Amino acid sequence: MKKILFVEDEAAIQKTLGESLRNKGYEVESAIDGEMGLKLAKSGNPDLILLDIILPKKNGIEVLEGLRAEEKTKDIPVIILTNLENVGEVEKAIELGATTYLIKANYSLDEVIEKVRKTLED
Amino acid sequence: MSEKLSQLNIFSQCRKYNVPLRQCPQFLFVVMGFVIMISSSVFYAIGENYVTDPRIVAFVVLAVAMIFLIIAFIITHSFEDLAEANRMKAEFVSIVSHQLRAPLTNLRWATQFLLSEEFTVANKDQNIEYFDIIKQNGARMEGLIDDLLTITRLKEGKTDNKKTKFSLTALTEEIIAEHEKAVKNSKIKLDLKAPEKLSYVVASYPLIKIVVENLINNAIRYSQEGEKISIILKAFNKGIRFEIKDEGIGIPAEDQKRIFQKFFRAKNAVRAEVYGTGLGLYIIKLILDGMNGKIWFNSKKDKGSTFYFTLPTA
Repeated sequence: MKKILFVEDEAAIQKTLGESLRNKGYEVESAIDGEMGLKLAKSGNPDLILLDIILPKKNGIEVLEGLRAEEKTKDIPVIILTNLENVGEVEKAIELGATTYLIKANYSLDEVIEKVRKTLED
Repeated sequence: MSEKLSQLNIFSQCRKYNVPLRQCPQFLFVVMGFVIMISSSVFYAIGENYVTDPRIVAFVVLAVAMIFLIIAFIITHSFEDLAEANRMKAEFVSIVSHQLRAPLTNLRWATQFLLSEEFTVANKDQNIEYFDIIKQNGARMEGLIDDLLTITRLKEGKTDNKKTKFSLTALTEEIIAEHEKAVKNSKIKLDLKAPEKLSYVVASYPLIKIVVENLINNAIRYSQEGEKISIILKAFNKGIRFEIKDEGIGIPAEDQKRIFQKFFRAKNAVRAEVYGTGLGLYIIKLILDGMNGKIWFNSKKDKGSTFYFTLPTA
């Protein structure tokens, strides 16, 4: 079973997307802030990380930097999932090796799950 | 062609920018053109018929040049104002769309989940959780729209700003009672100290209710379990002073200058608690400015904040 780390502080998003992924047969581990996300990424060996940008304690970009700095986590594919449509942040995330950047409002639940499936296949 | 012609109508052009005529670049350019034409003709006539001393001509030319300089300065300034207004409008649209998008996504995804094949209606508790998401996010969007409407109405002077005499203590007690559940849930201690005989304030009751509500809300949201919030009311000069002190996250020194700006949120506030529109304190200041009131604060990062406001009693 593929394991996904879902770093997102909005409880509603954690519930809807998290539950949908579980229903599709993925194991989902949740983190509600950046620090917790980074910790779980190091200890949990996820196959994929879904990462928000605006997060308490450490923001998504800082988490991404932390992931890339560690040998153990540097190759884990990361999908940025946010509502922040800021060109600077997009560029920075891609520069830091994020696989893709999804604006939540532009995607349905099914479309996000499909992106997750494809990224894990690759 | 008609579009080109309509550009010659300076009044309609100025209306488009939504600035007063005296700040409208097109209008000012036309004024400057007229001043140049009239002054050149007048100089010619004066020089030709009356002036024998060239120093007088030089002096008059200098004076007119000064006038041109002033008009040119106003024109440049009005261009800057227009650019600033434009920038703020773009920023406004981007912030509002972001703030509306988050609850909209939550609504959309929760309904999509409820409609999905995997969702089992048998699990009633889970069912309620998703309806709760829909309810909460609907309220969140409503809150943002209410704030934006309040601002527009305040700016246009269309709010219920009829001043009446009322007890600020009673108003505060009422709002504390409304927040009892939130205070209890977050295990915060909230107390109110007010002398028995405190004069009534003269202000708009519904607007001051927004002020007190926002200040109490902020204090609760930025405090943590076990911390204390104290509200003190007392007579102050020719009015009443309201003071609310919390032990919460405080405002970093570098952010204090901008705290009353529209949509501004201190960095640590964004980190600690992601919800929030950055409109609360802006609205408070807008209301108090219109009620002859004053607002100020003391704050230290990680130590807490104390906000004060005053209202006249007569």
